[in-house]
Amino acid sequence: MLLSVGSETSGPITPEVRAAAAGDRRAAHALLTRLLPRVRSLVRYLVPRDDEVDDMAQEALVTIARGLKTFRGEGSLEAWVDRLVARVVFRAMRARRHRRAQLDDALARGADVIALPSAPRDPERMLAYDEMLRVLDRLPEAQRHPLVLHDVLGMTIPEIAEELSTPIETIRSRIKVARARFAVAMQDPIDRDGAEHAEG
Amino acid sequence: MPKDDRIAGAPALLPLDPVRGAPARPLDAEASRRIVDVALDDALGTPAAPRRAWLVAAAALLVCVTGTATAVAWIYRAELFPAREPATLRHAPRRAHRAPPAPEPATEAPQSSAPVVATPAPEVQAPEGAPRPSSAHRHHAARGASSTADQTDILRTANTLRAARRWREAERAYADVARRFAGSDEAYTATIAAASLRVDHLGDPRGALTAFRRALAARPSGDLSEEARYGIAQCHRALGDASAERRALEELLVRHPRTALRRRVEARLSELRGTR
Repeated sequence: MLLSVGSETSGPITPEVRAAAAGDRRAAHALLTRLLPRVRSLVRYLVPRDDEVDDMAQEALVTIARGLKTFRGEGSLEAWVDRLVARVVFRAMRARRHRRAQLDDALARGADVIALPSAPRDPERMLAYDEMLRVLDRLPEAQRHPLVLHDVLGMTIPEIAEELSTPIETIRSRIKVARARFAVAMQDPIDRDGAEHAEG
Repeated sequence: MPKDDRIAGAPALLPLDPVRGAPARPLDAEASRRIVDVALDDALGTPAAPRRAWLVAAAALLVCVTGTATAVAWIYRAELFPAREPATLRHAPRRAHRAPPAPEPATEAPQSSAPVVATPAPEVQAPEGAPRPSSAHRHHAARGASSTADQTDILRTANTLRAARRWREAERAYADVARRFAGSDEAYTATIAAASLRVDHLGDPRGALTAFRRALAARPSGDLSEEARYGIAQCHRALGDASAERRALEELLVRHPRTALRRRVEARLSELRGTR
């Protein structure tokens, strides 16, 4: 399987980005529509529940739309978007833990929020993502987030440490443990189908 | 990057899927458009429903013009008939206010594990462009003007709270308009906005159902009756009542055959019929 930072499909500041940053709704709509699959993809990497993906993705789009003016084109737009999305997700998860601790977890776990037909997808690819997700969803948040930021977004350990307000050595250790657990679970069909991992 | 830690040939995370969004669940074009629209409304502050905004602005204009005309008439008549009718005019019957309905507490507790397709609450447009009485008339039209200003202020507050995703406070603000200005266009719209927040964000489909029904009973052919009927169907879905949801969706198609939600409603009806 690949290890990648994801495809980057645009140059830093395209006319579309410039127009969207200037408040052109049509341009912003086109841009956000193009970014939405990427945003949803990343959100799902970071949160263990399908039903939260669209709320968080929407919140991330709001942040992106508001923040476009501050995008300076120093890196790719996608990398900038990824950082914003991760930040929104972490903030939302913190807020949720704080405000909604009493909510019944069973309400949403596994719920199919939007079960609508979509574009045809490669079944093999879907299966690979589903298997990966089953394992990823069993990793504790403290390991899952550094692993995704590092191995999917390509962030450095100091950057992750800063983002998650966690010491560098802790991040390094968590990534190592998470990666090992992930690899073992992916290679073990029994484990992949449902074994629970303890917090490490 | 600590690539040294990686086990050669070991499975690793797949890359992001910037085209289809995997591993997130599939999302169709309409749902995507809706998510983007709502995000842009929040980010750019653009009203989601211009037609509704026009209606509310027109209603506000009417209220202000009526208030101004009343004030002018009062001055005119007071000057012509200084000793004859001032008391009568001062105590002229004002627009009757309905008794405010008891507020229904929205509970945080979830009612059901049934899935709900998130639908944005209707945006309530504050009538910013509506003319206000001149200073000469302000005193005499004070009651009507302050009432309109109150509605405007509360609606602005509610919209701001909603944009900030402070759902509960927004719901309270909308409910406040619905209660204090019962019978007005703004109250009608605010009732549906509050109900939408309840079912979409506050886990209170039962309270939302009551509110949608109340709005529909008040204006069966109102400007937002389509939204109210769809909201009712969503509430039944959240409450796990598939047959009531199906009836509500069927009624929606009968009453609003040209609804923009037709494709979604038909897809959901197919699901419901397939699972009977």
